[in-house]
Amino acid sequence: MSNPVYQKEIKMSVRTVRFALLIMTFNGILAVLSLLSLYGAVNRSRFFGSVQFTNVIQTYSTVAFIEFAMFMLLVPAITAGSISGEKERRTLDLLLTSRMGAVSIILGKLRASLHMVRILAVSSLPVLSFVFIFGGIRIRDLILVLIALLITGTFAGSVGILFSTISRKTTTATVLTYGSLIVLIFGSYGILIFLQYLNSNNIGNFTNGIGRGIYALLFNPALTFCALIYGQVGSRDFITTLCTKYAPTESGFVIEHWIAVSLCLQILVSVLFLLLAAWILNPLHAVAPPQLWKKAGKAWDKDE
Amino acid sequence: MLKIENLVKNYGKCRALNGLSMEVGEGELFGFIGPNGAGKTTTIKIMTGLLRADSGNVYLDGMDALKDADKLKQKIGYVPDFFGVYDNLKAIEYMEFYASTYGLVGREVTERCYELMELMGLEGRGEVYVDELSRGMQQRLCLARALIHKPDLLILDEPSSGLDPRSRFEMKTILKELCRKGTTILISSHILSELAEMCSSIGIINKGELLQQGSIEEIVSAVNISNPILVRVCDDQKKTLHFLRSNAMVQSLAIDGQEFQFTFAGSAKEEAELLHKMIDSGIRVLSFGRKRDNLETIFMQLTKEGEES
Repeated sequence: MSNPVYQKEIKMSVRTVRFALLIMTFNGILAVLSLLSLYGAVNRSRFFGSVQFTNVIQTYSTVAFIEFAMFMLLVPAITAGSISGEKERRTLDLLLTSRMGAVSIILGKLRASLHMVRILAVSSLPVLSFVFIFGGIRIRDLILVLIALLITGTFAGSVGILFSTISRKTTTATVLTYGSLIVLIFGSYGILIFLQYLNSNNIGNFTNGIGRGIYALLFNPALTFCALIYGQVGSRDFITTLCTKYAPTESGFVIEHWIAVSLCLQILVSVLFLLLAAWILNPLHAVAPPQLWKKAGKAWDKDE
Repeated sequence: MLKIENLVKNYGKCRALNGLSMEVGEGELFGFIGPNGAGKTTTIKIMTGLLRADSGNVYLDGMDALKDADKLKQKIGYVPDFFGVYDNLKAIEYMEFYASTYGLVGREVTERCYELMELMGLEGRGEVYVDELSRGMQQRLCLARALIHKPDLLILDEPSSGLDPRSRFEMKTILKELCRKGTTILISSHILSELAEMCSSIGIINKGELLQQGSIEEIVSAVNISNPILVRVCDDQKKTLHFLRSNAMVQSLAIDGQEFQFTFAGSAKEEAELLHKMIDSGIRVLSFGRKRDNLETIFMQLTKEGEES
């Protein structure tokens, strides 16, 4: 049987003009960028006598990165209000007194959020497929991008749902979700750059780079997506370059299968976050959630 | 039907429920009264599975409700004090959504949704968006929602708050009708006069403890037993005064025209004998009885005693 929360959310969201506008804007931006890029590539062929293949491939990677960035902006906005929105509307108690368990409620919310992500990802496929005109990218590659976007969407969504469960206000949950993703994406990479700076200035002993610390970047979805896209367009081996620069001593299975391992880890972390959210949401769980969290959440809400 | 035993709940150092025990019989319309912070909502939240009790038991039809939350949810219908609405959901969709959260789907369920809406006086409103309904209608829709899975016990937390007098009256009529049809109802409210009119029994709670429980008559009699006796006579003041002064059990006698007010130290039987002797001695008694308090006065008196103790 289908999840009632999922069905309700879908029914409510597709009725809004916002839904149609979001799809239109998302694909509109991608289409305009693709067309401009394509136009540039074709226009340049007037001077060179042939289409520069690298320009087309570059357009593909640019569009893919923009799509990733838009996902990272949209998913937290959608998921951060999933549970806190119910709290604000004061409908959460009614859901919790029904026969739906906390896990079902959380999964319903996640599925509804991912439904939007799915629609956006699938509807953007025609735009990404323009690259087939010139070749170089296979359908398999496009499917891989789609899978990576869905997994990353689930990962970002699970972070949003977790903070939404902890926070009483949607604004708080949104800020916390964006904050965590920014720290995860830019913060982890920033540490590498900082260590590189220390190394180049002979401060401390970082001759072997950060060693095993490089594996922390497996949780950085942006880095994994970069690795995937750069791998597809064949410009350079992104992860090998990264390791050579920051962790020259590291090699082996994880480095060789970085993308697959990272995506699996993202799925694992998503599952853990969702289970944690369900545990916190259940009012009858055996152990009360850490009081510190509650106090921190209340203090934050008060500050706002 | 519902039996609560020694329920304890602490919020940090603050004790919200201090060994609360009470019983609600089958088919009763039970009024749950108490001042703000007395522990009403905490009790209701524990009963509905929204809060975990520190200790104590809640039995529903003999079943340990706190140990089997799923069965508890099937047997209880809950109407909270605040009615939250979903945008972009029609009234019938709202009903169907909550039916599906109880695993109820299909055509029969839709028919039941319409039946319940009709029972609540919401016929013809199925296609109206919930946020377009008046507050009274929304509250009735919420009541219909709570009945979707045919619960044995309906719990309402301040259902009349924010409603106009007409909506309150309609709500009262619906609750009486539901009770007549066999649904056990527990209602928490501050509007005591309203509860006094419709409830078959009440429980008064303060500081997490039950002060009084029983039918309104029982509670009124129990509280009124210490009240002074009022006697009205027909122009026999001197004779009456002499008669009453001669009785050792009559104390604190006060006279206001034809009306005599005094405290009586005897039992109910001796009270009856006093009246009998008055009549035998030739005093023409117009009225004889204890000064009666209404529910509001009793509530104030009991909760004040609680504050003082």
